[in-house]
This record gives sequence, structure tokens and C-alpha cells, in this order.
Amino acid sequence: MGCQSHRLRTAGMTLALVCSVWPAAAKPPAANGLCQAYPASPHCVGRTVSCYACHTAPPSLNAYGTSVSGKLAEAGYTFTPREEETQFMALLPAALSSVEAVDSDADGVSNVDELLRGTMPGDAASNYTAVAPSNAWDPRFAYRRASVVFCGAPPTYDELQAVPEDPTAGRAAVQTLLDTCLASSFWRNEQLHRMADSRIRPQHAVGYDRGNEFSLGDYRFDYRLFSYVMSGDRDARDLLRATYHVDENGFRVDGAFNAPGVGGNLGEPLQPDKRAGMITTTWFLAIHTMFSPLPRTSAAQAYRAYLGQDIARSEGLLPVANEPRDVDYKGVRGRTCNVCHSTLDPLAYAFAAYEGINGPNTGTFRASRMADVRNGNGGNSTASIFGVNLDTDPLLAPQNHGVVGWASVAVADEAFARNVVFMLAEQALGRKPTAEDTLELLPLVTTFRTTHQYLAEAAVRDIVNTDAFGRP
Amino acid sequence: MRWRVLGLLSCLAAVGCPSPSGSSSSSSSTGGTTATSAVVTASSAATSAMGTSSSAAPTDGGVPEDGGPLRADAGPEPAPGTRESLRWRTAHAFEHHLMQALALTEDEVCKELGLFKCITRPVNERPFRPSGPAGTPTVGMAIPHQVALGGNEPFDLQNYEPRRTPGATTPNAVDRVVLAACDARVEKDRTATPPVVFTGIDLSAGTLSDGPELRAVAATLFRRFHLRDGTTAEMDLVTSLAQGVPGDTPNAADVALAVCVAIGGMAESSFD
Repeated sequence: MGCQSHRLRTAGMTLALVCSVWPAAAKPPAANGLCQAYPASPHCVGRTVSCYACHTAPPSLNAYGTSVSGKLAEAGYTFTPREEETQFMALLPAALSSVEAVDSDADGVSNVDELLRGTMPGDAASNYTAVAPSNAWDPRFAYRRASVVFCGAPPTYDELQAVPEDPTAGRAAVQTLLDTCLASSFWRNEQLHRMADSRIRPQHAVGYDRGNEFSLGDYRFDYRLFSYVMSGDRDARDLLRATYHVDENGFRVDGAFNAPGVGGNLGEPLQPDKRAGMITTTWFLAIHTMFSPLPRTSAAQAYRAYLGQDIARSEGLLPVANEPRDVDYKGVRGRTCNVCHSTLDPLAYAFAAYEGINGPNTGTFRASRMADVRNGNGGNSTASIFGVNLDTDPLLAPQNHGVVGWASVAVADEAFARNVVFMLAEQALGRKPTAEDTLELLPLVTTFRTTHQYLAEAAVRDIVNTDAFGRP
Repeated sequence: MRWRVLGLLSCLAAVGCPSPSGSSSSSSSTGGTTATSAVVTASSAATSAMGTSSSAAPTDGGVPEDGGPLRADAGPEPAPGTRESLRWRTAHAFEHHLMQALALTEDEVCKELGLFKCITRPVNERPFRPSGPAGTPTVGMAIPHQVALGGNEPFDLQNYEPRRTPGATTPNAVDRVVLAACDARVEKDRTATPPVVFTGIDLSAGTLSDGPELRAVAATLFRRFHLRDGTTAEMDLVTSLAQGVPGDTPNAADVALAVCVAIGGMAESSFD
């Protein structure tokens, strides 16, 4: 049954949008196929390249996609039936290889060089030519910028004059400044909160206010947890692993507690063994799951906010075989829908055990809720993230652990580390890192995972030492 | 006082005041203090303060060595860079920059209609608005220039991400906030003893001419706002505000305010 008819039956705006934009000829496994061919590409380290590597707006191909499809055709691929993907994936590596030396978008850089530099080989505007820098990392420039970003105000004239011009001593001065800044109220209660805004998505109209008759949840717990985990000597993986909350005085709160709200629960009633940090708070579940049996929005937001992959922008597509099962009869098996839903629905099954808006039960765990959903439409669905089948491992199985297993796979993946480092870098730079910045920042992701053992403040200290931050 | 000062600044921006060398200055015709800011700084001044330079660029704040006409776009086109080296100094940092430069408290920097904090939430609403009693939802105060200055309002407006680059109204907001902050400092120094920023001049005097005292104040303002010394051309330009416009001699407080706004409103205040 087609998406269009189901769209009339459902009020799922997101689903409708997804259904309406995807073409019949898209090849969702191709993104992962490209990343298997170029695993060192900045498009592929800790992420899966978006469909826009080959498409302008699917199914329309850009110049690079046209080059690749031409080679596929030369190899005998017919693109029919349109669902055929086995032969397509078998022929794709050779097709990619055969156009490496070509400059499909005629911007002066070959396709393979663009992929390795992190620009798009099918977009002439996505291009840069590195030139020898005319300036070096500058202690006073970096000090002034670090003061603004992490302390909230520029230094005084005298403070700036006191910064040594010698690079080694200058770097030490910036690090000393960070000792103060990273412990400041500005960094912990303002700057980190602003980084959390798009991840928590508060709404005062249905928020914590005691006088609000529509209160659904208290997002202050979300902000406090985010700031707590991202500061001090704490492990940033607790963004998705924390079994605790943080009170208004900054102290950990363990165990479940209720604070009845008229529409939801202003406490955190979820038992600790079903908690997964930021993605199982009462507010997260209330505002994203709401009344949905299969909380695709919750899964998509978790994937976007903490793993840096926005399915709505065709990022992070890792289709699971025989999915989606369409357990809630939304018509997502249609070719135009399953492009995304073959990734999204397996991500969402783990969230189905958690109550969305449901009075005092908001944000609680109920295994039968998940069973009710996954038994729909023939059952046999596969809960999966990053290619890991959660159902086959008792330690990860959603029916036992809810999102906890999902989160443990998530934080172990490079996508999580990249997302944290680049979130901090974007705040430090005041903009999204460019392709050139990205090449300099990617090694910091490895250091963050290994040397720093996921300490966010250590990543900040690395970022201020980059040319992207400190070179005028 | 503010209206007279705007007139003074427009003199720099568009009317064509007598320049220190006797020739007439001119500039882009955008008017207002933004144009003044552009005249004084140009992008070359902002970048030179951060350690960059171009071999062909004027070395004195965009002012040609021959004392010719000032132009906001003085100097050659910069070579296209592969990095974006300027970082917009947004909302909280911009407010605290003004607080620090002018020794003001957060509430003194700018309040529209005397009620609404201009850039950031009131202290008692940070990090969260206090809960109200049952049945009485709390209501946040409007923050007039927050978004234009690069902040975002997640709670009431569901504005979860700030704009990444200055918008069309950003210069207006910068001008308005800097004017308010400078006005507050001038008023405090006019009535307080001892003055904090505008030292060595009598702010209650009927006139204030260009001289060592005014230049000392301008030099102080350059250090307070931009962490550097003003160039000769910049100092000559801003102190020329003491001359006023034909038929209207500004009093000392007006001159002080105009100098403060001209220096504090430079693009250099908005980028790191």
C-alpha cells in the first residue's frame, strides 16, 4: 500500500514528509557502500555519508552520481527492477574506483581527492584549495578568543599584554585561562546549556512551571545532566549512559522519584536499570514519544543529537534487511518510504517500551508496550543500530533493557565521539567546522576516545590548540 | 543627549566634517553610527588588531597615508582565505564586553523602555526562570535584541539555535546597545566622584575641545574596548567630533558620548 493513502489515515507529519520526498530509484545502501570504499574520508569517519554525495535531490543525480551511474551502466547494470540492490552493491566499488581520477564537478579537484578532503565531488561549490598559511597559531589571538568563548568576556588590555608571545608559553597561558573558564558558571550554566538547547528542545508552555496546568515534564533535569556530564572529570559517555539525575545544587540523584504534573510527571519516575542518560528523561520521552506506539521521533532525535546523523537529511542510512516491518501499519514498506525507514524503524523499536505522555506514568518503562508494537503486522522485526542486531544479544535486547543496549552500542561507536568533539568545536569556532577544519579536528576524535577517555574538557583543551581556533 | 550625539556621529558618517587636516572626509552613505563604525574601522582595522595584515593594505586603520578621503572599503580586496578566521562575539559575550569596557553592571548596559534587558535574560531567570506558585505560571521578560546579536531564546520562543552570522538588523542593535551603554557611563561619570572612564575632563562643561584630555579619554576607550592603542588616524578622527557641526557646538557630555559610541561601535567590538 502506498504512502500517499496512508498519509491520509495518519497524522504523522514526519512520516508524511519522509514519504513525500523519497524517490523510487534511490539506493539507500549506496551511502554505506561509498564509506566502505573510502573509510578514511571525513564524510565517513564516525558517520555515513549523506545521499547528497551522489544526488542533488533524489532521484536526480549530481555530476558525481552521473559519473558513477555511467560506469555502472557500462558494467551492464540496468537499474531494473528498481528494488534490485545486490548486483548494484557488487558493482559499486569498481564503479567508484573507475571515476576516482575524474573531476566530475569540474572544480579542479579530482573525485577521490575531494572525498579524502571532505568536500563533495558532485558539487562545484564544495571545494577548497589549501594554501600555505601566512600566520601561525597566535597566543594572544587564541587567548582573547578563548576568554570570550569559555569565560564569556574578552580579557582586559593588561591581561592580554601579559600573555607571552612565545608560542609554548602562550599555549600554557591559554590552558591556564581554561582552568578558570571551564569551572565558571558561564561555561557550565550558560554555554553548555546553549549547546544543549537543540538536543533538549525545551518548551516553557508545557515545561516545569508549577503554575502551568499543561506541565508535561521538567527539562531542568535534562540541562543539569548535560552540563554535569560535559564538565569536570566526568565521562561524556554518560550523556547516553547515566542512570542518575542531577539536582538544582549540582548533586547526583539516584533512584526514581515522582513529582506529579497535571499532564505528565515533573519527576523522573524511570527505574535506573532502564535509564540511558539524556534519551530516557521524562522530558525527552514526553516531548518526542508523546502518544506514539513506535517512537520514531525519539529514535531520530537521539540519532541526530548524540550521534550526529540526521535521517531527515538522509544521513546515517544503514538499511536493515527485511525492514521496515511496518509494525504499526503506517505504510512504510513502500519503496519511497523504506529508504529511510529501513534504518529508522530498527532504531526505534528499543524506544517502544517507554511511555510518552501518559499522566503520572509519563516516562516509565513497560515491556508489554514494546511487545504490543513489535508483534504487529507479522512481528519478526529487528532492533538494530550501526549494524548491530540488538535482539540477538541478551545483554542488549530491548525487551530486557529498553534503550540501554542501544545506548551502549551507540557510545562505543566513533559517531558518538565525533559528535561530542565537533559539538564542542562548533561552539568554539562559532560556526560549523569547514572541510579544512574537519581534517584538523578528526585526529582529536581519536585522542578523545583513547588518551582522554571521553573527558569533554580535555577535548576543549585540544581544540584551542588547533589552527582552526588559534590562527588569525 | 542621544539625539544630539547621533547628529554628531552622522557628521562623521555622511555630512562631511572638517577633517583634522582641513580636508573634508566622506564615507559610505549608510548613515548613523554604523557608518561611523565602518569609517573608523573598516575590516582592515579589525583584522590588524588580531595580528593579520596585508602587505598592500593601509597600515593606519584604513586611512590613506596621504590623508585623502576615508572609505569604509579602503584597501585592496582581501585574498580569499581557506579558513574563516573571525568569530562573531555574540549576545552574552558582547554584553559582558560592554560591561567590562565601561565598568557597568549587567542591568546598566541597556534596558529598553527602562524595563527590558536588551541582550540576555535577567539574572534571576538564569539558568532557569523560577517556578511560580501553583496556578500562577511565570512569564519571561521580552529580550529585544537577543536574537539580532546572535543569542537564542529556547524556552519561550523555541529558538533552539542562534543565527551564525550577523543579520540585517544586527548593526542597528549594536548601535542601539552601545549608545545606551555609553550614555549610562557618561551619566554615571558626570555625576559620580571620582569618574571611572571619562577622567580628566569636566563632563558638565558647555564645550570640550580636542586636546590632551580628550585624547587621553579616547586612548583609554581604545584600550578598554579593543585591547589596543588607537592609531593616529583613528585618534584624529574620533577627537574631531569635538568640533561639532556648523551652528551647533556640542557640550562636553555630548562629545564624550559621541567618542565613546564611535570607538565602542566599531566592528572590532563584534568579532574575535
